[in-house]
Amino acid sequence: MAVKTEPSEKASSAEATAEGLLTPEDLTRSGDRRRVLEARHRGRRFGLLWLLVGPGLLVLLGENDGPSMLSYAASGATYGIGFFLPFIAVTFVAAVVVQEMAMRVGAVTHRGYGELIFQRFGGFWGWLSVVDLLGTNLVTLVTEFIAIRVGMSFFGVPAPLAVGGGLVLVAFSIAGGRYWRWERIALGLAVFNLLFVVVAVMSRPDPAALAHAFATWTPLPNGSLQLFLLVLASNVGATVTPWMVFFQQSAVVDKGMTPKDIPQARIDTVLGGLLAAAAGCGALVAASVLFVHHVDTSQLQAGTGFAQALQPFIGYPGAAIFSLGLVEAGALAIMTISASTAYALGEAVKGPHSFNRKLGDAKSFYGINLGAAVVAAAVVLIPGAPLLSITLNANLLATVLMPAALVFLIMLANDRELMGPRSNPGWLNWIGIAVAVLVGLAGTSYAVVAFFNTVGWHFLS
Amino acid sequence: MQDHQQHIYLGEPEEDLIESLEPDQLVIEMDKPVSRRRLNGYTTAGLWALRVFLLTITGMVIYAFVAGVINTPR
Repeated sequence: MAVKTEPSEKASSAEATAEGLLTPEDLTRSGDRRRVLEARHRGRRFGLLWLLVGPGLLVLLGENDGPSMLSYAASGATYGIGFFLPFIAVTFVAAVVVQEMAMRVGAVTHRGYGELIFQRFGGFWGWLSVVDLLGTNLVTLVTEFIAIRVGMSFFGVPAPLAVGGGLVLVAFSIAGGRYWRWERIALGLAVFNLLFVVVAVMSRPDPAALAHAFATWTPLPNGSLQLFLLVLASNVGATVTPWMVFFQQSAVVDKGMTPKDIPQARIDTVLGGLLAAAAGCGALVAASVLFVHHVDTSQLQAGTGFAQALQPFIGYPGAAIFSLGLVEAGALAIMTISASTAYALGEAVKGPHSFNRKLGDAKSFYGINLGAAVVAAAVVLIPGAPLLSITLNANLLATVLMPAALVFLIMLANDRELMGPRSNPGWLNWIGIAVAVLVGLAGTSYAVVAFFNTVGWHFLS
Repeated sequence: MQDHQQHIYLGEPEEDLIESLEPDQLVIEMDKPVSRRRLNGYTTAGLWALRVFLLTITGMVIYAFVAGVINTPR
């Protein structure tokens, strides 16, 4: 790593051992790293990939969360597959570009995103970034519990039991004192995100229509401009959000990845993008059946909604799989978003921020992890809480605040003092800037139209 | 000593286990802050402009959200 540290004197691993400066966190991480080095030394390519995948898959499948899948489904149900099917695919390309930067910065600097903002740009910008993150994460966590509640209600499970189950999952996953354990539990859960692909197949889409949509981006949406911009901005916020940057960079550091692991970490990120895009497009395609049959979808997200609406067209098994997919989407995102909250706050206050710490050594880290989930769960159980409005606006908030996170990420990835020869090439900067502009335009256009319509100036409705 | 560096390991771990980590991956090294970057005036002004713009847009979204909640019939 090209980064300067203060003080600049660096200890070797052996010196650190001799001086007794190793922590249990080092030992836990080094055990996992030894398996990576052995796999690399023996030329086990797939074994090495298996050991190194995780952060990229988790961040991209984790972002296929409750509100995201509902946004994709709402897009399909409202507008069919015409414009939004290729649009969603493009947003995942943007997400992969952004996440590759976060992964690379983490692997090279061995520091989380929040940590680097604080150290490189100072506490003012650091706290602004963390406050942005906390706001969006808390709102998003609420929507994850809404997704679990909605998904489980299809099977008749009461809301308190469904929400409590989500909390038990978080508590179980963080109890091991080892990043590897937490990551593998999350990965096991993430596989079920592909249930949305199964539902899409069960909805028997016309392959020619899918190909036509990808080739022409038509038919274009029509109707209310505000609704179109809401769906557009929600879809952008469903794939590119601040917590993803915080999470992947911190997870890469916690996993102990180094610059030598970057090729495998790129595969991890691209694979995550492909699978997440398939699942996201699956949700849209499945729900487009409702568009074809002219089903009114304006209030579907309030209840068991989409699953029940889909049942006449794809049968009970399809509707049940859709509901299970929603539960998975919410459950995985609770784990990853709680983790990003705990990582970011730990980095901000220079407290513990690693799953490789034992519970007793990192009470604040695990406390924030579980506490964030508990607060969000409590909101969901408040009688009369505006769950529909929260769900619709969660992705919007992320979209609006994302440009700030992107600008700092691009600055870090271009910081030659930090990144050395692994800083961004010029062409990647242009793509990064294009993504920031796309996200900024999507959030701004909706905000302006929604605001003026709300205050009664309906010139753009 | 930061909270991070407490609970120092007092045993004698296997040498090869420790050598699995790069020196700058040790917790004690990762806790050392990187040097502060000096931002020029244009960059600072750009960051401030972006921040003010985003806060304005966020305020508009929150206003529309709250108004929507208040005006939604229960």
